[in-house]
Amino acid sequence: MDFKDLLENLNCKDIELTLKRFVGDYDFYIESVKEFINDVRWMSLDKSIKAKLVKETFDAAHLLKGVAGNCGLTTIYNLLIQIVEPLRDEAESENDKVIKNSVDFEKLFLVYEKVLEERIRINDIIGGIEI
Amino acid sequence: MKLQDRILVVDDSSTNRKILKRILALDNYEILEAENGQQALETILNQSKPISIVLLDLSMPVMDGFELLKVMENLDLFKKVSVIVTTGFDVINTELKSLQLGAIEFITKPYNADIVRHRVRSILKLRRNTALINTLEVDPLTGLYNRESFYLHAKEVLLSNPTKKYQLICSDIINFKMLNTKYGAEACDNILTGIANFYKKTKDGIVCGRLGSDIFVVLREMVSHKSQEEVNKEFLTNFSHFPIKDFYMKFGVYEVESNSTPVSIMCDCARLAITTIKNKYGATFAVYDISMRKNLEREQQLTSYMEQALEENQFKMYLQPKHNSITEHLYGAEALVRWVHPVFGLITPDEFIPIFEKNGFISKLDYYMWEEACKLLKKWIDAKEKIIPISVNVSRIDFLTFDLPSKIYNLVESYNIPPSMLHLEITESAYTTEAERIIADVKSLRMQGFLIEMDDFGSGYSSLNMLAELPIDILKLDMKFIHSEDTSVNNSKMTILNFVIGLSKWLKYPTIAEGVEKQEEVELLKSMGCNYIQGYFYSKPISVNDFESYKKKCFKNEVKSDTKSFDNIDLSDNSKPLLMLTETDEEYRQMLTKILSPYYTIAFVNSCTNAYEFLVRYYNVINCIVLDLLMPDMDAFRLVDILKEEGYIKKIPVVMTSEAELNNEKNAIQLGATSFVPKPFDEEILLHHIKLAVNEYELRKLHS
Repeated sequence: MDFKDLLENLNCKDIELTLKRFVGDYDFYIESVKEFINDVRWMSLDKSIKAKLVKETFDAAHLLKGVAGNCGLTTIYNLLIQIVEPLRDEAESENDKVIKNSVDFEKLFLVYEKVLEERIRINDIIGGIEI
Repeated sequence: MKLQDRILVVDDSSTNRKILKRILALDNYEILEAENGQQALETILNQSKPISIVLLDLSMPVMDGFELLKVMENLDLFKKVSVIVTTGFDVINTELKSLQLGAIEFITKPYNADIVRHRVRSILKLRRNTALINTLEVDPLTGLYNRESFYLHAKEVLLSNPTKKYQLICSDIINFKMLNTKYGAEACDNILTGIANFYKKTKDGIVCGRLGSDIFVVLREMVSHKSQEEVNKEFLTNFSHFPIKDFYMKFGVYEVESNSTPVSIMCDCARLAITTIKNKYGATFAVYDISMRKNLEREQQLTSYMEQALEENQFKMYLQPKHNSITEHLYGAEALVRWVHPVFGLITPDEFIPIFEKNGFISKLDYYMWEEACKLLKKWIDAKEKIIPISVNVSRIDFLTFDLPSKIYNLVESYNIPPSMLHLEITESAYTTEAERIIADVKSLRMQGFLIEMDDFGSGYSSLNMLAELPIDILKLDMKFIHSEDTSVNNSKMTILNFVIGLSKWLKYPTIAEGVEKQEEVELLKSMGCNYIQGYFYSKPISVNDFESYKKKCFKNEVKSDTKSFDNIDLSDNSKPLLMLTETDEEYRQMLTKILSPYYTIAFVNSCTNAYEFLVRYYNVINCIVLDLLMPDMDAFRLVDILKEEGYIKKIPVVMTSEAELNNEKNAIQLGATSFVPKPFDEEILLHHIKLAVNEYELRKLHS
């Protein structure tokens, strides 16, 4: 499987840009995606979303979103946006230590489950690839 | 070797950092990493090599991007480091906020590798250009704008604020060279930096710059309620804190009238104002006015034409007669220069002499005038006309430009003029600096036979001691200072005049008063014992042609006034020594003729006035003067006095004759007569004394 096929399998919607971003380095890409899948922030996200902590959830999702975007992981990237954006105003209001009623965390959990599914799917594709 | 640009990538995601690193590695930058704002700040502050660009993620733990931007702003780090913020594409407010906080550019995530590389390259290029501009714009020593960039920035201010009033203040350190010698270059650099710092603090100052080595300038807004005096005071107060006290600054102020006037011209005007007070003690500020520029333009105009004017003989010698105060006979003339320009007409020496003194051209012009005077004297000699001395001006600079004694001597010799016919007028102030050298030169000139007139006596600073030492033959006073409407002032000035003439008599120098206009002044000067008079009372300075007519008319009148003219004396026989005899008694005349004519050519004159005139005319061929004490028009002792004052007695021995009285003989000898022959004459004694005197003449001639 070449770089391009891999990106297609990963549902990448901007293949050319992603190829350039990783300067055509297939191994570097695999390494980066593995790093993404194993990022410690997944744990923070999991904890904070379950505890309904706005800022912590926002920070973790925001970081993961940024990396996902850079890795061309379009599906998970778009899902993470759906978590980040509803939290943005609250997160940036600097009064976010408590659970906010205005944030519909039930809805976020649903998105979060999809995120986890996609993460597993990516891991399935990438996990077996030796670098 | 080209230095690698250093880029700091700040992101809490190591994946993101790595991605950027790989992209930027394509352009061969040196990449540093930080995972939060705090680390980034430490990296920026601790690097010995400067970081050019920070690629900054905003959302980070510990210290986020916004916080870092704020700290960098506070630490004034944006001058050194450019920040590119990396944000999600969908966050417009975040971009705006980061730009407001000092970021220069932004890149959206996910990164477009081409855009990242392009943005980084653009920023680096911009930084390099800015650095170059800064190097060119700013004076490296003081950090102020240099000349060109001051002009540019001041112009921008003036053009964008057409309704505001501005003024430009320039300063110059008058004794900067001295400071350099005294304290050395490094200390002087500190002085300049110090001055620059004071300039930066100028109240209402908008732009300041350093125009040249020690010349600074500030463009300041004029505040209507503040007078110029207050502004000046503020300036001086500012500088009064300066640690070095012995530097003298002068300030020139230019009030901006039209904002479109080139700033370079405004600076020139302010600096021109400084030149008007450069030598004025106590004057610190000068405000430019239009007459200053006109004077400068005129100066430049005259300077550009002077050489050509000399070549084309546009400089004309004018002569102003000098008269004997007692006999009123024409005694000599002063040569004065006039510039007759084909386009500008007559330019007065008051205007061009100071300029030529400043640029050194005066020496060429002086020499030209000396030569013109020699030519005229030569013309009179060749035409066998009566010759009278012409006095010419010698400037202080001439002593420094030429080997003056040989230069003038060679000149008169080339025209075959007796040096005593060229009087040299040297101002008293010429002796004030390099006195020893100038005095030595003047002494040497005097030894060669030139007569030295001290011009403007009383206006200089000679001490009495110095005056007695100076090699002078005649003192010249300018009467300008007594011309005043205020009579009380006049009275005190009269006292001074009387004192100065008295002083010169005491020093045994004859005096000439110039600038004499009125009959009363003539009478006054005569009563005070002034010997010669020059001024409008007799004649203004006139052209050579007019002077020659004037001279002829004078001598014609003088001859007319004599009962017996000496013009019919036959001097053609130059094989025998010439004696001039003042003897009015016909019997004695016959006796003298009988005794002396076998050995001498005899010229009788019948009055002291005639004797004097004869002497002036033929002084260079007379071998001996035989003076009778009893003369109709003047005490012969007084005549001897005058002859002595004018230096004739030094050259020509005088034999006095009179009835044998002890006092007469004693007085005669005391006054400087070579011998005294009592009446009635003893042929042998008379011949003996005359022979001794004629021998003495030869000896003196040999000696001189």
